[in-house]
Amino acid sequence: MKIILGDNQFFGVNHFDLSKGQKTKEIFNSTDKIANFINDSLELGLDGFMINSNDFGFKVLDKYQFDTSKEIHYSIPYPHKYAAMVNENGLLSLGKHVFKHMSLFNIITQGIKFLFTRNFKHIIRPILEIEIPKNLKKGSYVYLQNIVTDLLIGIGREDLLIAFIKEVVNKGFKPGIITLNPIVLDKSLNSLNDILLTENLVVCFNINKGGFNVFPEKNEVEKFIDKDKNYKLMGMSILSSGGAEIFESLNYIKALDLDYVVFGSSKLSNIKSNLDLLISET
Amino acid sequence: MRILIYGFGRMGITHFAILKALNQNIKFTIVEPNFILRNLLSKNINANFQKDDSQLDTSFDLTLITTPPFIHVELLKRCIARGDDKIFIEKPFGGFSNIQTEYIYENKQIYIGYVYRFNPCVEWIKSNIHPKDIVSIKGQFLSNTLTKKPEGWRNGKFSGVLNEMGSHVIDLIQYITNEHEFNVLSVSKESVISDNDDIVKAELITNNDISVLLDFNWVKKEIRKPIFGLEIIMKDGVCYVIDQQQIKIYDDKENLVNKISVTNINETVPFYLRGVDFTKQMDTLLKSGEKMTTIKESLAVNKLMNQIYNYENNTR
Repeated sequence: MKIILGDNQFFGVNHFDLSKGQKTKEIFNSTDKIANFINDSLELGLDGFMINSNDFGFKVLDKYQFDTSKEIHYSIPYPHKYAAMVNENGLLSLGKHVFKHMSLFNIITQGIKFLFTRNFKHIIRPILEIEIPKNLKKGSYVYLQNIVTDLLIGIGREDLLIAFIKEVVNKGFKPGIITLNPIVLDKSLNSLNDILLTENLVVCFNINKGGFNVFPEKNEVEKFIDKDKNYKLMGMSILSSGGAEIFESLNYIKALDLDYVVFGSSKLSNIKSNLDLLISET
Repeated sequence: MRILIYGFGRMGITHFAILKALNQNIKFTIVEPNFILRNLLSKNINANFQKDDSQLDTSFDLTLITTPPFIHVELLKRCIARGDDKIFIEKPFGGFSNIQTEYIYENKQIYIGYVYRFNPCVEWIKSNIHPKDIVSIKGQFLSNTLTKKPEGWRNGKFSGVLNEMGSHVIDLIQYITNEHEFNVLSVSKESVISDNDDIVKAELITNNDISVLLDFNWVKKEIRKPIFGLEIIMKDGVCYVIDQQQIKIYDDKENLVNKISVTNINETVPFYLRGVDFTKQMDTLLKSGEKMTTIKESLAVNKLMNQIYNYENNTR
């Protein structure tokens, strides 16, 4: 099981306590502080880090170099940026944003295809171009955030998830999908038989001892984890944001057949103690 | 089951996705007047897209009105005329200027989309405190929703922090206290980014002497995700502080005596998108409609917003 540093602490996310989240966001108020914390965490022995494509995350990956032996897991898009855009100027403003930032090459190749077919799959490539920093090293993971994944599942466009995976692989990255509905997603991925697409695919979802935000419910997700699959699994929200005892929570996670876990903390000491618990034999 | 959705913006598409995931046997008809959006969506989403409802003569099992508020009342009348069984209207029903009680169709199932009623912390409070023991309640909604001046109706009287954010908190206060009549004592309003109300503060008192403080601000830069908060003080001095994620309980000497987190109040839903509360709202809508805001309750919210919005004018 590989252990990855999460990014919630950098951006003020705390499912247990909003004010605590806000305080940690203030600690990480510059890209320097975020990059230093990532480097310090990796030195403790973590296998890599995950970071979102918000303003800070994008800059961190574009500006800083990290230990090349460590994995980078980058998630797109930054949902709040797009939510604000839609709130202020409607759904069509998303399309305008994408076209405004497209390269000439993509306007000619993908933009024209999109205008003729109006199929959303033709804007995936330009979106990746906008959201992925130029300096993100090839071979890194690029994930689709759950708000988009689950919306696509809901509207019945699972084919766009497959198109996303293909585009990520074509760009020389490894694909990842974040979802809060892993069992529903699994049904769509079952039809994906291309080994080139699945060999590095990671599906990231909530799992924790308390069953917090584990959907549809913990028992069913445990059975899903046990099932044979042609892709890798990453557990997130594994500490249910401090809602359960850490020791018991991590012991629970260790017993699961996961390929990755991701967790965060604003304190290096917590990261070290959690890492020690996760890699210990007992 | 046949469902009609008026308007396919952010809320329309969210409800569509959840309903589709909850019930695979729904046939959707979507009325979206915007030509570009309709054209784009009809190529990407499996539903019957219409530019208007002129061809829709047969009644629907459920209709969702997720358009801007200025057209809510007109569309509701059309749903009633067509004989639609159940009608869901996004909040705030017609905006705060809509206070006419003639739209209360007693024999119809009409619900308004105040989704925070389904928040696990709110549900806990509703089940565990008695409204008659409440002395005071503070309601807050803070966000960084507006970063630049909005366009169109979002910069007019059907938008503003009171309509779009405050209505949620007012609905929760009415839901928790069971009070629907308020006297406004003071109001302050500020326009920061939009031409409308971006910051609103108000002091109120209910007919049963519960004092109410409201604080709404949707231009607060340091907020990443919108947060609502309630602070309820009981006759015995116990205080409940609630946000989306936890309830803190303090005794009469302000000592923290208990903390209940959403992580302790586990909720399971068959499909998750944007929050447990959104799925529960749609699931309830497909079933009995229990807990949902009725049209009568939503008009009481509008009436109070109207009082707050026009308070300065009345006292000049």
